[in-house]
Amino acid sequence: MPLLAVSRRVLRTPHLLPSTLVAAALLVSLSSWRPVCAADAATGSVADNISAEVRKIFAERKDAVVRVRARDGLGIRFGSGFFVDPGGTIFTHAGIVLKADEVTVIHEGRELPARVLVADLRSGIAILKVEANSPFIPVGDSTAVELASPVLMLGFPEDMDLCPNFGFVAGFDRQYLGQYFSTTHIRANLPVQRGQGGAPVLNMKGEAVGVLVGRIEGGSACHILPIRAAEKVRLDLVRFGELRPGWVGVEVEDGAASGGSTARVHELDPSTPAAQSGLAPGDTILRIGKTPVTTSEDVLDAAYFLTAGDAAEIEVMRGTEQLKFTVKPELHPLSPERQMQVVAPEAGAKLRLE
Amino acid sequence: MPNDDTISKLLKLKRYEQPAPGYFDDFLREFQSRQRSEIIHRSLWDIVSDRVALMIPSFEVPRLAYAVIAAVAVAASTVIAIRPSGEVPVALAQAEPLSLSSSRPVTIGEKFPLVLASTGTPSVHYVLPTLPASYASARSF
Repeated sequence: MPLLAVSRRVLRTPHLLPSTLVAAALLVSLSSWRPVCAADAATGSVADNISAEVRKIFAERKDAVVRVRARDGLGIRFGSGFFVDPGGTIFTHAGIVLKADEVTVIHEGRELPARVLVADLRSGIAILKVEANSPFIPVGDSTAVELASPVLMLGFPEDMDLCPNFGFVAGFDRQYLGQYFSTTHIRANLPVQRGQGGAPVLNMKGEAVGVLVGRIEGGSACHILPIRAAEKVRLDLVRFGELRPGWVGVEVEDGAASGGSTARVHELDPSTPAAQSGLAPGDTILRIGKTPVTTSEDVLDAAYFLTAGDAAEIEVMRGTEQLKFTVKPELHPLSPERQMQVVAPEAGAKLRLE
Repeated sequence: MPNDDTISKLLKLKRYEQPAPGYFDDFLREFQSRQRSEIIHRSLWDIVSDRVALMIPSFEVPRLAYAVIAAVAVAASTVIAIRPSGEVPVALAQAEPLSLSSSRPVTIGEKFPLVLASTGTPSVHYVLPTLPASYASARSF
């Protein structure tokens, strides 16, 4: 029956109006209903969705990734790197440029000369500068990365083209093969190859959450310096023109729990900043700066973010009393910057940027 | 239990036992056939080892020869051990430098030369180490 005729009949018989409206509503809702499997088929499989996401991020960020080439006495080293600002600042792996006589980056088909602003032995990264306006990868929040977070790395494997590698965060490590990192590193089940050292590791928003610094045996997984730790290096450089890793001179050990922490001050040299601030052996450390401490290994992360010359607050338990001390860290005695000052002060001055 | 008398009778009877006619002919034929089959189916290793074993006694090496061989070996080892490390055999010195790297430039965009003065093709390293880079201690700060 034509729709017009039905409408006329309904209007002539007002008692039919409510039931007609209900029937119409049912028809509309049924017409918009689709089974779940149909929805899935329309949007593709999970793998297709991941692939689409990876392709999208790769397309958006690939122009900000560079191949780094460095020549030193042993030959030529290649690695990856990425722009972190529009002014040509690049994060890369320190191992590529540490002893280089000449560094260039290959970007969009051009080879550009690069200056090494710093190659940091502590974090394992280097910061380069090229005189060019550059696309860049925005910095994300590496503290938001958690177990099983998806991550994407863009790097140059050996002499091959840039490629995306996708994986998941598998854990967080403070040491590997018996050697400690400078701060907790992200471990990702992400396949890596030589030549990708210094590559950016991105979250699924396309933001850099880390720098690829190490390969786990076989290259089936890797270690990533969190971008927060890399930013500490850049911040020092911007503020002081050199790195200022802080040191207060405290030896810690695990002791009886007190105030929720087992990190007990073991030894204090009287000449150290810590001793001068009032800290004493036997104190249990609860917090260093903004970083809470619960075990002796936690000081690794807290110490990494100390800056020589910047006062930091250390909170401790002494007996049943909770105390706060303000300590002014010195330059880390093992840092090349400090060594340079001790051995040749005039050479230390040369480390500063123009 | 049979007595001695019964046993002696049985032994007498045994003397008159004869094999079936043609037994000895068949026996010989079968023996030869098995012998041939043994020779044909021997493993190569058995044949070689037998031949070698047969040859060894035929060598007539003077006893002094062993002493001469040992002396030559000792002298050669001594010469190799005391030769100065900087000395390079002429053939090696004239050889081209050996490199695992490719002389082909990396082909990303425009080509660039890999120039190293007079040392030939530079070695190429692709960086991604395994060990952590840090001088900081785990329990001090």
